Amino acid sequence: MGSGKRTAVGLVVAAVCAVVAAAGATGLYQYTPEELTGPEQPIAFNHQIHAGAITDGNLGIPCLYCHGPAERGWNAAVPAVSVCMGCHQYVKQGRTPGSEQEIAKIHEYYDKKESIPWIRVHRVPDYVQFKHMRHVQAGVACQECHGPVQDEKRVYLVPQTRYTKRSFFLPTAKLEMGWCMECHLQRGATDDCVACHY
Amino acid sequence: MPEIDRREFLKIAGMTAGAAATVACREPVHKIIPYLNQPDEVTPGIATYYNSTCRECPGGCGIRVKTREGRPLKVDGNPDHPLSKGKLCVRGEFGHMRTYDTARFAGPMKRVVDASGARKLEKITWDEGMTLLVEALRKGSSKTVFLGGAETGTQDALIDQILAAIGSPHRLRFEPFGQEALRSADQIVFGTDAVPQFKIGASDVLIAFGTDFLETWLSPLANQLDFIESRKNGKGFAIFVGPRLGLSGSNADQWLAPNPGSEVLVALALASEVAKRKGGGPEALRGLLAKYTPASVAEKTGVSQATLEGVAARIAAASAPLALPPGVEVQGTNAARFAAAVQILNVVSGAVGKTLVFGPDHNLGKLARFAELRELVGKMRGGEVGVLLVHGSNPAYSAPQVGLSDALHSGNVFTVSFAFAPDETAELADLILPDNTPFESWGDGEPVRGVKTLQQPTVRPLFDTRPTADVLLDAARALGASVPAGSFRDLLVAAWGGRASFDAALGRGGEWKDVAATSVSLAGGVASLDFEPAPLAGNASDPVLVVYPSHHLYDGRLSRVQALHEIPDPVTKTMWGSYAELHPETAAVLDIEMGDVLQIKTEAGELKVAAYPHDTIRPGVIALQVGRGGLPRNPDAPLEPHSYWQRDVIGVNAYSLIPGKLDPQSGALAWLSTHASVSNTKGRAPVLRAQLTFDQQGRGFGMACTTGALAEAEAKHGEGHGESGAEEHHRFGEWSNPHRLHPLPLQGDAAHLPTRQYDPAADAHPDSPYRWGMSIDQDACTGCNACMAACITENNIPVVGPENIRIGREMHWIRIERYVEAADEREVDVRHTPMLCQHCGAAPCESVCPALATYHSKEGLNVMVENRCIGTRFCSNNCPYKARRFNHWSYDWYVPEPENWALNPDVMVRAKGVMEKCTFCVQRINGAKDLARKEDRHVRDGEIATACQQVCPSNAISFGNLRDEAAVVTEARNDVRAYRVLEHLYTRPAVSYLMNIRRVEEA
Repeated sequence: MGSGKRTAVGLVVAAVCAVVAAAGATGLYQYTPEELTGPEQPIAFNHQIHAGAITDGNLGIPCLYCHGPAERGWNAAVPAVSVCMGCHQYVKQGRTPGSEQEIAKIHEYYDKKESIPWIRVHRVPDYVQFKHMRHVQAGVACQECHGPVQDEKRVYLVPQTRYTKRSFFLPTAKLEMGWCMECHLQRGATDDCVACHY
Repeated sequence: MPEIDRREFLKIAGMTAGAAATVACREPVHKIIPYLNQPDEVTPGIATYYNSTCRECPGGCGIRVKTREGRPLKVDGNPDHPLSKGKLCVRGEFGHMRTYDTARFAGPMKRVVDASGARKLEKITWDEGMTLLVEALRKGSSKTVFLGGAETGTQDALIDQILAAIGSPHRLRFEPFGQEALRSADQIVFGTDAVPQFKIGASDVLIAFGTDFLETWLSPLANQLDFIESRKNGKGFAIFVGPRLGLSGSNADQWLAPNPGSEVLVALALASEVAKRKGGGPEALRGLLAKYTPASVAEKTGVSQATLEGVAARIAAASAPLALPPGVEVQGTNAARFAAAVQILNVVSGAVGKTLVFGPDHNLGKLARFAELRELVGKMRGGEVGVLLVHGSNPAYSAPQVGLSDALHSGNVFTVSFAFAPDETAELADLILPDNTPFESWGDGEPVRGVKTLQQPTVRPLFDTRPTADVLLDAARALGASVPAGSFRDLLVAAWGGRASFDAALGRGGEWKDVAATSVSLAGGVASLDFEPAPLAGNASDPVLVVYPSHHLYDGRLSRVQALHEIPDPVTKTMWGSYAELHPETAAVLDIEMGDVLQIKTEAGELKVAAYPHDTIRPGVIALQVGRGGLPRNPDAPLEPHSYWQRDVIGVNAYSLIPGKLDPQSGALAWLSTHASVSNTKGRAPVLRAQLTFDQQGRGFGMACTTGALAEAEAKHGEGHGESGAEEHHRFGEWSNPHRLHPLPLQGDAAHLPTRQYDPAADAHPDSPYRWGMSIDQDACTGCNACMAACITENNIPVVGPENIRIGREMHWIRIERYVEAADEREVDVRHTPMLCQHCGAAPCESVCPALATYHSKEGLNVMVENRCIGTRFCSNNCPYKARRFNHWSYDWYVPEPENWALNPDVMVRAKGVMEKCTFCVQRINGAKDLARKEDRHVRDGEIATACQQVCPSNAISFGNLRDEAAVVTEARNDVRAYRVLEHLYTRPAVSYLMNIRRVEEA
């Protein structure tokens, strides 16, 4: 082989290795450190205290109390500020250090008539129409896709890699299409493209 | 180990780093923002619907607006409303685009003249604006005039009250289509100037004298609903009398084209002949009618005696005939008398009291006459007007004959405009206090007596605008005038009897009650009138100028809606421009070809327009549509694919060619009053057409049958069993002669090319309960383009602009194809074939996609997964129906705020390089399936309505499950008139068409 051709082969091999290495064991989606521990939200809302098990001394509020539209509609919204104020107009102090300041922030937003700009953690691209209603009704627990949110102090995208037969066992990360399809194929749910892409 | 030198090492290292870096690209941070206080009726992700009233024309149809999280996304008819009955027209579908207009007035402005003498608008605060207004009104005192448009209801009464309170009760309600002639005619013939109900739905023979009843006349949507009702199953017969076959004429069955201006003689001759056949007619009219017989008018009108007698015989034999008074395009200086002649025809044919009913009248009595506008402008010139308040009217554009601009200047009139977007009259204003757009406003109206319709806002005001009624109330209070306390909304609620009854009425959309008919009798003095054809100025050898209203743009008020310029005109199928229509014979005389730039001159002005020769206009006439040629939509529009053309003026203003002659009796402007000198400049201009020919060239896209053949076929095959009903047709897989199996004769290629029998319900998975299909009744389709408008707003279809249209890059998923088989005195056979993706069972497009972006779903849909598409366009190459559209640019991705608020979040927004096509509104199908799943059942027939089906005023489209025997769509597919387009290609289309019915005597 001439040296020019060697270079070309070397370049191609190196590029492929780089891509595969970068893809890594966690799939093509590379988690940032921030995602692994959850982005910092405008208010340090702690799901563990609110939604955690009562047996552990937490409040045990069911997911659907605040995220009701997940059951009734297509999008599961975050609750309106008025839902938070429902309790926190009276509950001005929490049990964790610094909770007084955080609760005061809710009051600040409400009094300024501004809504809280939460950072979105779980998101699928614009060309996917994900319908919460169908999944909740089919008996899929929130934790299956969102992870054990009731034990999380800060919401983050819990990493989970699946290897599906259909994608030739290449790794697919959480919320990528292959990850969704693994579950769909296992449970006999639809594999029709137009169910989600329209 | 092969040796690598430093250079090669660096190359490899660099490329590796680059490759690794690309993988590390990140999504931007997304926010999710909840409500502050979520209203009870809103669930994020689920639409909320509000009843309101459309304000795109004075028709006053009730609408139901779909909103998502406080933003209106889609406008449809209110099913409970008596005028719209759940349907809407092409204009109403874009009502919300007024609110999302990027170049709207964002707040009050005042006119300043800078150092160089240029007039500019300067932003001011509402406080300053109100101060300026109050000052002007104080100075103007009793010399203030309010110039508005058609208005009824609480705001109308309030404005009168305010004007009286400030001591200046001068008001003009100016509409270019003001029905002055009809009102005067009713005064002459019946002694009352009311505009009665024309019960088109109850008529069996309809004769329209240049009346564009499906386009802009009175309540066009209600007219269309009634018209189709009267023509079910081949009933009904319509005759159009006029120089040009517009949309309304295209849906008639016979066309009389008398010499322009002489239509009045046709009306009288018909009245005379009908009276003769009915035993003479009323005593009072006998003398008059004797003077005008078919024989005596034949020469002057150019319509033969035999034809006139034939038409009169038909009218006389009808049980419920109706004649429609003239539309503006044939209104000459004899307008009132022409309309009176038509009313005389209604009297002798027995229509009065049956199909022409006084009582539930149209509330047009307070509209100003054109003569009054001219008088007002004269007063301005004489310095008698101090302040002019303009609201909902644009006379600087639609009435150039009065010379408003000069008068305002010489009379030193302080002009205040309440327009919500820049228009020609606002250009002359000194102060702009923008009103809220209709979708941001409260209001009500009574367009027809007995129908009180409510309007409510569906979105908070986007910009710093205020309701005009409140502005005037505040101004009056500042002047110390005694006006009612409270805001306009408080007064509106009070007018509706308090909060409880107001809310109840909102839930319905208004309040309707039946109004008893009143009887009228022939007034004295009718017989002593004489009726002459309208005189036409100019050289008799020149073509006559016919200026006609626009179906899409009405009188020009809709010209800011981009999509309405891009939807092809229903008759000429042209887009983005003005075109002078003329007959090929007339064109040949002047050596004119399609696209030549003509110079058209009348005493009022001259214009340069591209020529468009075509067959559905009579020789010796040149026609121009109004509505274009106004201000550019946005002179500051960015030079991007979605907006660069907004800096240009589109088309020409046809109003400027109409000389200012009036009909002395009614004060109406004579639109038909002159010949126009036409010369061919031999310049060339592109003619942007969606269809290059109206000739089917023997391919059988739009088929028809005659009433005789239809009756025979129905009798032979029993009620509604056509192709796949009886056993004789079940020869699947066999190539067969289509003639033997179709109850009605097929036309075109389908008539002689063999086809294979198939069951359309088979083209889906065996286990699927659904196979979606559609049926379109061509006889009901009028070609009104409402379906195109609904599809555009539902599916985020972009507007691509004139340059892209010129090279054929239109994006509409559904189109109406127009085929002219006959258009003359014997018969009018114009067929409208809506064409969309046929969701073929053996689709030629599915098998050629290299990316598997399009495939046949388990439910029989031809699915397009746009995000998978790599843009080879092989699918479009293969589609025989040319239903697929390619995004050559990322049109919708870069639309500026707030225009992108109109995008439907349930449908993907497509980027450059991606194919798209009709999906049978799969978002609605999936939505219905989700709801059905909740209740653990299948979707029922009628639960899913595609956007086109929902809006079609003719109910021409049915959609549903072809596997359901009882579904409407399955029955329609088995109808005797059913056929498929290009079925002989064996594409197995899911869309079935019902043949047009030709109402001719031959079998």
